[in-house]
Amino acid sequence: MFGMPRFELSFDDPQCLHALFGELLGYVLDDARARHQRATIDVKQGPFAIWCNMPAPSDRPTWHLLEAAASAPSTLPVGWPKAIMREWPQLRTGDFPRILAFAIREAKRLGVEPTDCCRVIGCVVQTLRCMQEQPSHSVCSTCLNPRASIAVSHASHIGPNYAQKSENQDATRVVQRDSRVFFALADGVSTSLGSAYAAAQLTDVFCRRLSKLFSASRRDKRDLLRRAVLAAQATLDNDLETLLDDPHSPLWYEVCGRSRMPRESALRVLRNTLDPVNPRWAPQLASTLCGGVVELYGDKIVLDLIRVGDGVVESCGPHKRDTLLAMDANATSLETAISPGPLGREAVQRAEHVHYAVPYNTDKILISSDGLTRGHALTVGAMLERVSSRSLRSSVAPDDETVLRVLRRAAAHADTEFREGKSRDLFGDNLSLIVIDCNRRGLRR
Amino acid sequence: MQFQASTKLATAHSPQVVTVLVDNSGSMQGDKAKQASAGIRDLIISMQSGNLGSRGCRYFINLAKFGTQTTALARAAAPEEVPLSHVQFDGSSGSTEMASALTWAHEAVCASLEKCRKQVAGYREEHAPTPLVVILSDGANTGPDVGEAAKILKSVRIADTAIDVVAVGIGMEERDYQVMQSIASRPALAANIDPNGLSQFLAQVGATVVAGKPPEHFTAVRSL
Repeated sequence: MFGMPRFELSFDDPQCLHALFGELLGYVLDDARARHQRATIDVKQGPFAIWCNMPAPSDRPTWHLLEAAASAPSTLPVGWPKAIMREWPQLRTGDFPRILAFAIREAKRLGVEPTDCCRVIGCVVQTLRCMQEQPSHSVCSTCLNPRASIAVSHASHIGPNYAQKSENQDATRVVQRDSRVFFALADGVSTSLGSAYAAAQLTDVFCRRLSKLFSASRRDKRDLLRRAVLAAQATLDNDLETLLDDPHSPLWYEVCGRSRMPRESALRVLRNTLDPVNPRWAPQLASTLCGGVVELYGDKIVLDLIRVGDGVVESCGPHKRDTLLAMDANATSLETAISPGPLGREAVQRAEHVHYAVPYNTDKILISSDGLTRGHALTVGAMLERVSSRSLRSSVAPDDETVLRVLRRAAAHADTEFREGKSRDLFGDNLSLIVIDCNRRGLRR
Repeated sequence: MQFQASTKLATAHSPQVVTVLVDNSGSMQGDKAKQASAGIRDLIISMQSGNLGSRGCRYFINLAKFGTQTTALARAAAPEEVPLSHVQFDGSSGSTEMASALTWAHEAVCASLEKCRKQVAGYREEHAPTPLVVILSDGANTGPDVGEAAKILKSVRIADTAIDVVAVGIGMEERDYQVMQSIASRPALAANIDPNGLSQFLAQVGATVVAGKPPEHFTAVRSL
């Protein structure tokens, strides 16, 4: 993932490793929650991978090396990977020494070896990153159609730390089939129970259904888009039914995510979603959806898109930017979102469509969630160029890692602005971006 | 009637303190107590929804019922910490001692603000919405004069701004209602509502709080 070494626990690993993973992840999450902070371990996972896999066993981690660092963080650790030693002045003042001490203590109690203890720390670091940067399994993937030379890249990020988001309620998804690329971006409604789950479901079902509809039918695209949205909405109807019918369904754990809402309250608001007796409670499992299809027609790239709720669509040419679908960046309440129940079905009827054709080899199209519009008056493309040293407009076919890097940089910039009192709402939400690149140099037909 | 939305929305860095005092004296028995129970539970659920998606608390709640004595149900609590089953009013608390309830509210608001200042990471008081106190009663004050207690409560400041105290009569007689007008922090924040609309009124309070709108939004709409 992201070019970084992967850490994996498999079924073949002994139970004690799984137990240590659970203990350590739980410790970090609980600790962060108690302090109202984001759950992270402030180390990179790469050096741990290298350290665990050193060819000579004598170069691998030992209890002595680990304990020395945990018990005396003010001293530069000896025998640790250089990449970590370089960062130690910052690491020793953060949470890492405390987390390391916990890991050592639990590992010894569970009978885990020091090398495996480090591997588990790497697993937890990686898991925390995944939790914050993309909720679904499709962490990022570039869909490149070599024949048509359309590249679609996407990424999602939990957003700046100051925004205090407990989870990433955005989701992005891209599916390639034949010469078309299907994409979707969903922004879960912040105060709606299960919105992170809903966003992931909507993007997944929408893309898969739309690709099937396109391969099976030649009906007008607006109708196909609407049918894909209806199919996605219908899955939320089914999910709501399951939740209300079965209080022990595993779906409860997926839907509640990191919510602290008591089950009794959750049941009340979910019942109200099905039968809106209290009109002041908004529907649960609610999310916006902005998705569509990109195709190549002759010398034009054609985009057909449907939007329910908010989300911004812009085109970025070499000399100009156009907003194809705008939104009110200052709005804090959302009038329309897809959800289960009657209000969600009504929302689909208010969907907006965009049909856009650009000459091949001229433009990039950006689709973003509302987080990237917050706290500034520029277009999303212009603002991202301002905060990111690497221009999305000028880069050739930015891949997912580039897009994710841009989002990380935007979040870091927003945190700096907040800390320095320059802005208190810049990018103040989860951040998601899909980049459709119609300008792949050297790949012209 | 239209009111501008407050520019201060409750966030994890600038949470709002909401305090509700419910008359549980004998005159509340029956439908009014039932409506109060249902309405306050719905208000708490609204605030729990308002906390979704955030690592920290956007709202802290103080809740008490009062009669001859004041009984705390929640103090400087996150809405998720309030067991809904405990939110039960039945009109069994005797007479209507408003002054002691207001004194409790003062202590609870101060404790909540102290909690924000000490425990909320990166707390920014100047951006926090004005703390809201809502007192609901259907009958005459049977205790000592409320003047001093109300004055102390209204003297609480947050970033040099006075807190909002809303005094709601539930179908009160005109002569009894005057005490509510003296408790409210400004004339527009006193309201005398139809007893049959109590739960609707409380639902409106919850929606108004979560939407970041000023309390006039619910007092004006529901006044008799």
